[in-house]
Amino acid sequence: MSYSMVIDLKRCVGCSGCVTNCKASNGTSPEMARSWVDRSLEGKYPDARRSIVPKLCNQCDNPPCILVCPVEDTTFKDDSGVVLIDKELCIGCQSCISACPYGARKYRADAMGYFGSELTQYEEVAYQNMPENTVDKCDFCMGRTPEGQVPEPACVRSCVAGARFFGTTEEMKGFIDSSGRDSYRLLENMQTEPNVIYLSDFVNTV
Amino acid sequence: MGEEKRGISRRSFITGALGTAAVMSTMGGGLIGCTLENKEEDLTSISTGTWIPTTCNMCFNNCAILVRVVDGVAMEIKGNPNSTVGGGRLCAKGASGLMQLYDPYRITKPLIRTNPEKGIGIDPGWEEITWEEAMGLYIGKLAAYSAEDQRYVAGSSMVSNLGTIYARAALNAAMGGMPETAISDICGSGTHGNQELLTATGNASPDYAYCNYVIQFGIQAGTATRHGFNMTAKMFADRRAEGCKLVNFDPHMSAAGDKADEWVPLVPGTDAVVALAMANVLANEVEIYDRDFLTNRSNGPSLVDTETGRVIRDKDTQKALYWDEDTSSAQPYDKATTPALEGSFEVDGKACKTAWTLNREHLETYTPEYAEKISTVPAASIRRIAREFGEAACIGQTIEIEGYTLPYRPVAVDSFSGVSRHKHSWLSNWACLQLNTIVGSCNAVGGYIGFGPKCNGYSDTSPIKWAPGVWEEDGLINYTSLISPASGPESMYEAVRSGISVPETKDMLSLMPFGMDYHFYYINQKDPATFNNLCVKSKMLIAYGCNPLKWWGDFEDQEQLLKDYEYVIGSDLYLTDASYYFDLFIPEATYLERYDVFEHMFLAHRHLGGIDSKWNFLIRQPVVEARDGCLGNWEFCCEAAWMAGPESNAGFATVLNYVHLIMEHNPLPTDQKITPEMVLDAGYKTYIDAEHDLEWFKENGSYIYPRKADEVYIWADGSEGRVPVYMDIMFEAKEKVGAIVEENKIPWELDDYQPLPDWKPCPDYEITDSDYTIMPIYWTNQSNVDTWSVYNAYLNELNESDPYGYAIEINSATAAEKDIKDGDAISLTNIVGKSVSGIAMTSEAVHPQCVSVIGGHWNSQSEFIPTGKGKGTGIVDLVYGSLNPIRYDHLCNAFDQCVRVKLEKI
Repeated sequence: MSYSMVIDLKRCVGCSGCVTNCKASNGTSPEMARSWVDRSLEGKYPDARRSIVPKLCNQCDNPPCILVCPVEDTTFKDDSGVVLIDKELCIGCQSCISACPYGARKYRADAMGYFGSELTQYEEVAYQNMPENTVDKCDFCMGRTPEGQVPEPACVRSCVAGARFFGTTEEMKGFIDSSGRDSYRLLENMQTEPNVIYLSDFVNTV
Repeated sequence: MGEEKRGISRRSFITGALGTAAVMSTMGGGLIGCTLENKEEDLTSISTGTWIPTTCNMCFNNCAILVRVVDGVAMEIKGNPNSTVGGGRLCAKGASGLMQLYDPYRITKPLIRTNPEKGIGIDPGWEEITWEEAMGLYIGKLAAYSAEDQRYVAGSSMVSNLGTIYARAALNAAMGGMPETAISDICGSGTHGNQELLTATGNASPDYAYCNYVIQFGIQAGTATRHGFNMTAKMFADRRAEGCKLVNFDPHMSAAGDKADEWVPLVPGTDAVVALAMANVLANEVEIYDRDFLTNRSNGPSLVDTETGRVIRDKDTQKALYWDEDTSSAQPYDKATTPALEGSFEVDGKACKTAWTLNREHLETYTPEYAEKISTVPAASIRRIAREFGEAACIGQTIEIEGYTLPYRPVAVDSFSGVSRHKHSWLSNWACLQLNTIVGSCNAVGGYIGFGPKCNGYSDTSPIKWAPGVWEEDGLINYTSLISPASGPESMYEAVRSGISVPETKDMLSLMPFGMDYHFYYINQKDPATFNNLCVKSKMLIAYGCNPLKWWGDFEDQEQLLKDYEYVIGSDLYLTDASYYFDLFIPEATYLERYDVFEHMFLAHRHLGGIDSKWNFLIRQPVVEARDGCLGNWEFCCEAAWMAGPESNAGFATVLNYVHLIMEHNPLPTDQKITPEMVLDAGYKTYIDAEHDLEWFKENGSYIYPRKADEVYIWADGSEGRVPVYMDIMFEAKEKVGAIVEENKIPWELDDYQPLPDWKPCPDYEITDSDYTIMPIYWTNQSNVDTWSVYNAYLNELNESDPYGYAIEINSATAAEKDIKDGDAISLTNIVGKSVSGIAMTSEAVHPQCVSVIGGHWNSQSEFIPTGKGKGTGIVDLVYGSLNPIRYDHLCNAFDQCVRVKLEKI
């Protein structure tokens, strides 16, 4: 059994709710975004069209980040298909950051908080999982889910547009099939086999 | 990989001792999640601690939330799925509440100025005082000024915390006066009023659940902003995914433009000319209009004297006459069995036409080609979109809901700030929204519906009910107040009939029966002689939860006004720019540390319309202890009233009893100190029933009651009511207002008092200097809408990660003409020489005649909020003339924010 996430780009409004909900729930420190939103513009005025693609770790079936890690067992794929990091073992070499084609890994260089070196009450607790000189990434919120429970990623739970769907890979495949929509994964030609799938945006006409 | 490894990975750095106190929160509230007894607890785990229900206040939507509290520390916020106010979802701002709660730059102790010199950058010399001293000063100053003249006191606030209005109003009243409103907000004054006339309540939206075609003018509802964004986004997203087309007219491709199936850029302030051209296409070119609706649910059949423009009325009842085709005679509207919608007739020797016929003729001047010349929107696009809209309206079709056979018109035009914040705001909004009238989508399934136009009660026994009612002379619907049904249905028609009078308050609203905002206050406050000294200047200002320096016009104008008061009390979370002009600063606990009273009361601002939007009562309660024992505003007012003595306290309680409609059922005692908890308890019991008291809400957080079809679709039960195609009442208003201004020698504009909508240019359109060709506009994305954006660490980080977050966005072609490249410093200078500067970022997403920024009021200079200092460009500073009547809408108090500027590379 493995988990996958589907993001419907027609529904997504690019609000960055996934970004701050992930930050608050997972307690990530400044500049450490496990979830982020890429925005681009295609075409010329007045016929330009916006492309909004929320991103996170793709929990690849063939994750290049694991291959390059020099310390055995530091980053690994667990039996639910989620790529995890053992921060006790991580030496902060950032090889995995270079290897990840999705920019999903971030390096925590210091122990600073949002208001400087003195952490707030919240940060003192939240950043216990954000030691300096380690790498961090999305874990589908597995890290804060009790053993035996199905994770409920904060980005999915909070999504104001209901654009995110989460479940087993089989469930998500079924969901995509039943939607009748076009779907794709990022950088499929790199054969990383991502487990984040996008339902393509489209234009409604009458 | 085995369980052991997973365990290490998760928790090796996130263990900690968790005492009993962490498990058993004492802050009240039910146990939503589960708690673990393990001493080596994962403190970031979703299952650790207690989930406490309360409501967000990171914007005015006040969504229902659950906060996970561990050992007295709030660790996580999520939406409360047991609520229709947010539906279990949480936006970017909502999640950022933790950064506000634990922000070290928040002020938590009352401060008093020691340096009399006021001004940005001049240290006020704040010194801490006790809460008792602060209350003493507050009530002492309030009582002293009110005793001289209650108009000497002014109050300024924002919409974000409507519930506290009642606490402050009650305290003010108890101390002898009601402050004049010097609201710093700039709202949708021209929109709300038109929505009241069309949907019987001051907030309306497409009926998203059924809508197939949405046209937005100057609004981003459902994708980024407007009342209920977090409630709207999913239902609109669902419909868009199911095929609903979104057409967004906006000079900038904002969040709505991003998601629109068709983004249509246009020149700022020209939405109305496009809408009128579309109306012309529908009414005259393709003749797609809902004859049945216009005949039976609008005043389109009203017979109008072509010489005077007045509706012809029955001499005895004053009811509008319709041409009855059955009897070939003019009959009162409620007697005509087969009214003629169109045609020319003769009544008592007077030539007349129906109102709808006159409107069709009026619209003929608005050809798409004319609109293109003004707006730059291609005429072909106007024609195509108008036709699409009309054809998608399914005119003639019905749908069954809850046993009612209802008109099915799955199209809606929506408008708000972008149309409203201009001169001629009333007429422009009317022009846009009348498209709903033309195709019969007002109050129809899938059409344009009010948020809370009618209520049959919040429970089987609830005494709270309201319904629109009707203005008998024309059969037109009245409406319920935006905030409270306490005074029954309100009526602009009645306001014209009996409410127009010589202004005594600086907002001049007694001359504006269609008005809602208060911006004329500022002109009178600066110089009462402008309006013949009918009003008196205020000497004291109470600014609650707002930044009156920065919000809506030239900062220097506002600075002069703030300096002009003898005494200014500010209450806020932070020492903003405006605080440099405060004499006394009263901090407030954050929304996660305090009780507030009925932020969702009577629902109009917080609940969407629609059959799935159930009635919902919530609670705002503290989830953690307030830092330094800081008080909430409600608690402050209650304590201050008690301090003021028995008589004042009794007056305070009496006002609360009245405004909360609890006098009859669960009145507050007048001889005890009031607490917000007492008001909540009395209100819950009154509005719902005895079972649902404060204790129930503290534990459960959310009460839901189904909304029936006849509460959503106001004519489902066959109730009488029409919407205006033709505003005959404008003539009466013009005559009455004209007589008063002439008698009192008040300079006043009467041109917009007209029976049909028009497009009229903003004042700066008259500027012909070829150097001043650019119009700066501001917009809000989802993480910066409403309040507390750049001050918040998460939100500031979002803005800093966005190349356009703090930049000035400029069309690529316009930039190329001036050799401006990404990252260049540029300046914008208006016609009176005011200049702002910023960093340019080029884009294909903004009209060539515009530059665009997020926010518009940024570039905070307060040393007390380092997070936001110097971020962004405050283009609102360029909006000159905030003290000049020529830039105001004299119908509804709107202020024109459209200016032309000179763009230069620095």
